Amino acid sequence: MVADPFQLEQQRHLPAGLSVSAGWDRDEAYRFVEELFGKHQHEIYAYLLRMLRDPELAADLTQDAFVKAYRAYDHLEKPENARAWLYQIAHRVALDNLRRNRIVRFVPLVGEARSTAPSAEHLVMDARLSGELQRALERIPVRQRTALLLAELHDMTGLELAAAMGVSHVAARALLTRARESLRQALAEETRGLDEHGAGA
Amino acid sequence: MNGPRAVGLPGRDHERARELAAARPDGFLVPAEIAWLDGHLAACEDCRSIAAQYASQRSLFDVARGVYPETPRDLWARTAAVIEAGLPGNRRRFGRPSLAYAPLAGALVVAIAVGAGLLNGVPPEDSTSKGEEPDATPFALTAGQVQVVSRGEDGALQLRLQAVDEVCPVAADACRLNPTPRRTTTELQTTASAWDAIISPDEEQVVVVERGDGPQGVYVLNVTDPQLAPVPTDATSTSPVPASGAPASGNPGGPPSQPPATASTEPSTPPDESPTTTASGAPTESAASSDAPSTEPASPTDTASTAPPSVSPSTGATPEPTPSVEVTPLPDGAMEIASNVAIVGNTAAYSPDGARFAFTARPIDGSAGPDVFVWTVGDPRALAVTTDHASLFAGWLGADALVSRVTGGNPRTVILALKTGDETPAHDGAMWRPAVGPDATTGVWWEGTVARTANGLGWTPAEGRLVLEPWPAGDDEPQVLATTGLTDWQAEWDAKGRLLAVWTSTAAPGKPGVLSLYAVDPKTGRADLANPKLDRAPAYAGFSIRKGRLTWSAPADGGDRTVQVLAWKGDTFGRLEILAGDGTTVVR
Repeated sequence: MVADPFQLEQQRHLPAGLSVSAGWDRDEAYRFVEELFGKHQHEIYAYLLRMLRDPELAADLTQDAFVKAYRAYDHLEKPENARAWLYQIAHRVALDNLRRNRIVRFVPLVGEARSTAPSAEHLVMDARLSGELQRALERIPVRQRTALLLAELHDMTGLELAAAMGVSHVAARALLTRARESLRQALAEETRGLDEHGAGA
Repeated sequence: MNGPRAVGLPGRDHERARELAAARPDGFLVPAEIAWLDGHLAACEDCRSIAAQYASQRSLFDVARGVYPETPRDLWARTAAVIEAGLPGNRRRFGRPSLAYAPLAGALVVAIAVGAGLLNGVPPEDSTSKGEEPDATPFALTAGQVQVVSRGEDGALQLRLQAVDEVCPVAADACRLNPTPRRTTTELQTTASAWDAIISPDEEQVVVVERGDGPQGVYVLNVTDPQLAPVPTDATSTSPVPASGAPASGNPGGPPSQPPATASTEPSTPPDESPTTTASGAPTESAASSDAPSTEPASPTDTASTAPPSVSPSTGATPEPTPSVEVTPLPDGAMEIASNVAIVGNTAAYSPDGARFAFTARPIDGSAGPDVFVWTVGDPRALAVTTDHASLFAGWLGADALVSRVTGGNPRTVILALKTGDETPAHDGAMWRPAVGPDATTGVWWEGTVARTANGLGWTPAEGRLVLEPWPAGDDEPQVLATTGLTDWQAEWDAKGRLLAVWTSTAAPGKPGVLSLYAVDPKTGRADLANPKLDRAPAYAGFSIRKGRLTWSAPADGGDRTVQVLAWKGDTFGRLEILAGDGTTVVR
């Protein structure tokens, strides 16, 4: 049995499992993350639930995101940017999970349930988007959809979105611009489909 | 896009108006853009209608905006327990079984039996024994490393170094190795779905080229201690490369660039909340990206041209708010030398002396075809050395660049002298993307026709064959390495020119092809195709042949990837396998 080499590396440098750099106060970090959790746990969980469509996994990864935030506390330069910073951590946690599992899925917030398990849409949304919008969202590329839903449902500004997705402001703008055009076209196709269906009925 | 029409307004104005209208609901526009857009909408009914559709999109989300579900009641208690216990990665507290991927992340195993039958002269082995017992003795190699780039748990790309100083003989089922792994502290934050990584000849820098959807960038990372050896970023430094003046940003012919993506070992904080004039590049970010191609590109010309050395950068010649093209140094000494572009082809490479790095890119908005860019080590950015929007970097010939382009419907290659900007034909006949051996006496290239790629911005081999011939031409019958049906390839020799590795693919981009290794007769330059050292092993694009090691990324069971190493010392070959997780790319 050969050990994970990078795990060995980590153990050598992080004997306590934590990185403690100069000026890094564990108690301060703990209080800060606890406060962050109180403020943002629901939206981070909602974001991960939308990304992963699995309530248990989303809860696991929400936990991971806040633990990572605790460890990276000394890298947060401006507390006022903590929300976007937190989303960035959650975004990476989600992407990492999706990539490793080779699953690319994004929750349709309403619509047909795909299994008998409690569906994300039942857990996520009291208020529901239209089926037409759901189907249109499913037509557009995942990154565009992610950007659009972060902007629309999580009320992110362009700068927050850029930070959350780990891209530049210009790239975020381009991504969101493309997302809006894709959604416009997808909605138009939905409308045409409904018209044709209606005409054929 | 459906083309809106209004009398008296040029088509690009409509396109720009729609892009600005799409960006408006999210507050991206600067006052000058808003004013321009309002003026355009006042005169264009079609654009007004589309702008209204964008605006109305927001209302569709109103019912769900800011509505979040309840989290599990004990979520904080469990999170706090992990923090207080100081146990990284201690999770799965909600009754879920561990995910199957976990053991694969970064794990190294010795497993020479997998695919051993691909090695010449080695019969297929029973592949059930993988490193359980030491049943063979590894043999030592000259010191060297295998470098891979993979995505870490925090989502950042991590450069990982694996010393490979010994391997198991190819005929053995398994043997016990003593790996001494190391991981660099250099990490790159990127959301790119794929990437290439190319190491400099001195192995002190790695260039990461983003792939996949959306705008891409090219980053330079330091392999050695970044604190001690930062990449020079003096914006006033001069480049010996005669550049066209177009920086490697999304609009080689136009103004915009973008701030660099973050590169750090930890999440960065967002920038200050203030509108920035650097956003003027975004209106040209049309829906013509790889995930929504629609804009017709400018027609590449058949007449090649390179910029004269005297042409100076034109980054300020625009009436729009213009971002600086200077690239801010990134943490760890990493820097972004190209941004907001679409990388074309997979032939990016350092020059043999390591002084320059060349690649092919086009504007992300599809407004032009590809050009060759060269980054001189130490410069803050890469510069275009062709301006015909129809050129591909094929490889290096000493200090000169080999540039392929379609001329009069025929694939041709020229030798571009970077010191003077002069071009000379490399060959009279059809020659596409030649790779030349280390002593410049043999080459591998596509001899045949090429066809436009589906997006109209590149080319793919059509009818013909991939040949190994004396460089630049000879009397002997060429050796044929592959024929029609090829979609991509890579050919490289070892430093002495004694071994030739050839990767070919007939599949779509991102799918595995096959990799072979041939001995080369030093007198004739001909490869022993009948007795390959490695015979058509499944491999993803991007292999490395360096310091007696051939390294490639291969598909593994369950959809994961492994890193395969075939190493040799004299005539003895050995092999090992590294399980390195999903998306692992070999640094070539």
